[in-house]
Amino acid sequence: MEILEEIIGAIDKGDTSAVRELSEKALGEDIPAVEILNKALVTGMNVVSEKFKNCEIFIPEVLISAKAMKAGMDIVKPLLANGDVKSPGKIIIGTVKGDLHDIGKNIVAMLLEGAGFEVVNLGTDVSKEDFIEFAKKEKANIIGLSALLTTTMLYMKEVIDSIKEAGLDRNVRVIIGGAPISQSYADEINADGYASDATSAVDLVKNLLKV
Amino acid sequence: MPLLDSIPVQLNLDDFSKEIQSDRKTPTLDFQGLLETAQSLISPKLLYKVGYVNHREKDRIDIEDVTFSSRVLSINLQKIGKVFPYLITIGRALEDRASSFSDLLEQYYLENIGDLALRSIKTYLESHIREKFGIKTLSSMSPGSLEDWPITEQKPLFSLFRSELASTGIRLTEKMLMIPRKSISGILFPTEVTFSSCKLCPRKNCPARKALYDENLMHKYRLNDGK
Repeated sequence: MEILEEIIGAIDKGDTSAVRELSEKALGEDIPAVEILNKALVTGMNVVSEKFKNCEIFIPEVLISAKAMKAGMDIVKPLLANGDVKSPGKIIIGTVKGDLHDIGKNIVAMLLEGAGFEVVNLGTDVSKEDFIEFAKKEKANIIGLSALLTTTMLYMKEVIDSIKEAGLDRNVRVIIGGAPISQSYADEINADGYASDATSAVDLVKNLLKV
Repeated sequence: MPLLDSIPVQLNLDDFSKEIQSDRKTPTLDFQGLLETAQSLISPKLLYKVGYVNHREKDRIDIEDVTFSSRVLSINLQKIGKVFPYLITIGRALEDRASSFSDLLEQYYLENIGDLALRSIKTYLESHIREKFGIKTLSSMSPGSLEDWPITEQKPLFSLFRSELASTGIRLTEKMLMIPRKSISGILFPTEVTFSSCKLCPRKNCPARKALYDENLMHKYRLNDGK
């Protein structure tokens, strides 16, 4: 449908007002809200993510497009009937205890939401107890841990060990990221995955949840 | 050494565009206005001192009565008697304002402006030291930028400032995080050839990289030998 392609194009350009207008127009043409969501809005962000991965664009462009996508979401979401959209998964995300870095983790959260996932962002300086409590309460599929210092990344192992002790590891996967993190560190502490940047994090979550 | 706080912080649109790697115009965002807002929130403070190298070993070096464990630092300061440890902050107001924004893009821009401001203050410090001490070229190393000089070495660096530290408003947490977050620290030292820790860091796709990784340099610093 041409209008859905136009929405994708508008997200790619980061044109918030166009995404808003086109989403309204699409609804006016009786295109189901769920179709606009999946075939235009989420697809549009996928296009943007691919460009970022290929280094054709950088973080500001991704955020501008995400903002445009959200404008479309604000139009269609209220019209989604219960059961129209089953979230492919729920992720708890936070920066570990002792660390206050925020922005990278927030970008990951935004892109995960743009990909259709439900995200609970616990903020910074999050204890293992809080990760576990929220994972249980929210019935999370994935816990995402962020750390920006070699001193705070050590706490990631404590979180993972605690999750295992709590018996949550059967249902909950743990992924990690941040400047000092590497795949070898993820392997060392038995994390289920490592992502080097925000779009890789989305791919990783999709792979782990097989969506 | 006195605390310097009347520091001109140079922020302009060109530097900002380069910093964020984008020239896309966001129609609803007033970049100049954002820069001016940021400028009003920045409270620069700079503390440095003259430190004398007292003792050198293969993997350690003493500056004043404080020992630093780093082979790279020890090699870099082999022929240097006088160094300039420093602490720089722009205060908390900018990061607090960034956190209060619901718009992630504005948060991201403010964070980057903060980093730009810190580099501007460091550039000012370098000019100040070059002029005052008649030094042609300066290089800098910071704890945490290399595996060889880990972030735990912030502790001895901070200990160099002791009584003057309180005047900066900077504190070091147990996990070596500097508060306010928009703070930097390190040691400036005279060099004939500019040194960058990035040349010894093999990390791929680092947004903060300032120089290409040089594997040959690893041999020069004997970082491939056992410590």
